[in-house]
Amino acid sequence: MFFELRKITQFLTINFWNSRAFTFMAFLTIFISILMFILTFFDFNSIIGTFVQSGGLVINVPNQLREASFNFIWGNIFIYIPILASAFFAAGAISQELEQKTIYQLLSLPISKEIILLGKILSSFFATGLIVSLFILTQFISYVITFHSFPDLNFLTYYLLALLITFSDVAMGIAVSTFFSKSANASIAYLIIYIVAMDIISLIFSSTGINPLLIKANADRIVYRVFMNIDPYVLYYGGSLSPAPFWEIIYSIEILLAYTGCFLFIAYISFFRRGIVK
Amino acid sequence: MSTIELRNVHKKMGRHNSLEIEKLSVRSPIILGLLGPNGAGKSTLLKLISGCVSSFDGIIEINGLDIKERRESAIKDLGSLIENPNFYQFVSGYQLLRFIGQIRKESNRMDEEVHKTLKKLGLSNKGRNQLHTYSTGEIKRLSLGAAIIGDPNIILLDEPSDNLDIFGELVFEDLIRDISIGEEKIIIIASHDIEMLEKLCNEVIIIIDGNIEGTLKIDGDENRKIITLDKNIEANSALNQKYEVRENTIRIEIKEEKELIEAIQESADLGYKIVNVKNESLLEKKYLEILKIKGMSILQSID
Repeated sequence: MFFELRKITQFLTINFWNSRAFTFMAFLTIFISILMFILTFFDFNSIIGTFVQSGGLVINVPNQLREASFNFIWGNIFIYIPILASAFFAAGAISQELEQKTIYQLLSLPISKEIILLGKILSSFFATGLIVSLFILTQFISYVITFHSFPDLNFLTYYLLALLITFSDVAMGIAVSTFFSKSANASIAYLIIYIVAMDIISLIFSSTGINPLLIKANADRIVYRVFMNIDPYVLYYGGSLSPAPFWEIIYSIEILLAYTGCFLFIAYISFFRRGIVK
Repeated sequence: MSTIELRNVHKKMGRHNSLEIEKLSVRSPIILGLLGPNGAGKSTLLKLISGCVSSFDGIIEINGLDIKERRESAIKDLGSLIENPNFYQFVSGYQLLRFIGQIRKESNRMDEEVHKTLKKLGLSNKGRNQLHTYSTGEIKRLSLGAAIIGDPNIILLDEPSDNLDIFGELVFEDLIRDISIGEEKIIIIASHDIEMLEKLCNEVIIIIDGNIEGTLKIDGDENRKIITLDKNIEANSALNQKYEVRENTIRIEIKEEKELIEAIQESADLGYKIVNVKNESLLEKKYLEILKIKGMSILQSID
């Protein structure tokens, strides 16, 4: 079983890594990282000044806050990276197999369908995770250049949360993918659900007094709240310039894990129920 | 010995059609053809046997193993080419065959086998190239390789000669003869190409509207000839009285070669030019008869 899983994951990952989509996504990530570096390295003082003024605080910012706001700004942009990469890699993972008719090649191999699905999930995660790691590595290097020191332990928490969010985005992408037989449709549907539907539901939750953190898109933002506990999109739970407390991180992790479990379950049911013969 | 057994199999195809097979038993060694119009159920049948589709009624057993209950074990010794796949664009031909071969069979000589297969397919020089650089015909040849790598005893091929040029067709025919000689194999080929099926298969099943309408053994009888002339034969012609005549063709059963030469000579003497002489295809004849009974034409079947 592990032999087959290793082989199929390895094979599909090579196909992802050699693809034009991966090259494009890597290029896009490096481009965004360079822009972020320019923004935070050269314009950092003015940005932080404006930011603090709007918070009604003194302009003379302590070093610790400067470092936290640096990572906070990078984290705000980071949030889009796994969403976009999953739209490329995960949302097309099953639908592309149907579109290209390669699914018949996989399904006629003596491997269980669970292993095939798991191989698709892992290979999509490795491709997306590499793009995410590329962004965070650039952030790390930019931090070192800007502050002449290494970031504190919160940065490790940030990276681990980033990987969890990436995995849950991949699980969502794969779940969406099992409903479509054209990869472009699956990617568009995934982005609509993520960017439009979740925001609308979040607003409905906020206006009706339900905790909007229960929406995945909001729970994802814990990734930068480990530096400063502010969510510019949802002010439901207030905010502070300190890192999010431990219990809030755990709460968000639980929500993300619950979503991931649901998406994997949907993907499993949909992949198995789908009649491949049209 | 390899076996495939289907009993009371029912599978819906689209909204209105369904594949219905009461009983089908295939035992090695055999090269079995599946012939039928588009949408008849040939590909669906191959998808069912290859384990791609699990939602169907009835029983399918491969080598005595129920495909629903023991899918992985049942298809362990099975290779297939189904639905002209485009394949994974960013792996090489070598990587693809190696992956499939390793999944199908544990062997520390897989690299050697992959190289041999690429050579048989005439793709040795492109083995390390990514698949998006392959032509349609090369992809088709590679997909044949994917079906035979790991030396499975049951091989299912869906329209294997589509998109092949004359070189590809020769490679394919050689390949089928090569893998079927002296081995206990079941090779099932679904195709529209009657000539190719007659050339390669021992037996052909005709499927129409999801049902098996007939089975024909290809015994290589070359005693029935068709002589095609340049114009329709006149009703009062001497040829009409002596031979079975249909429009511009003479159908003749011969025991000796000189009977054929005599018919050709008589036609020439009456002012007809000979366009060609070929063996009468029993398969084609039977297929056309069945299509006629079903109210279809050959053109409908290959549209």
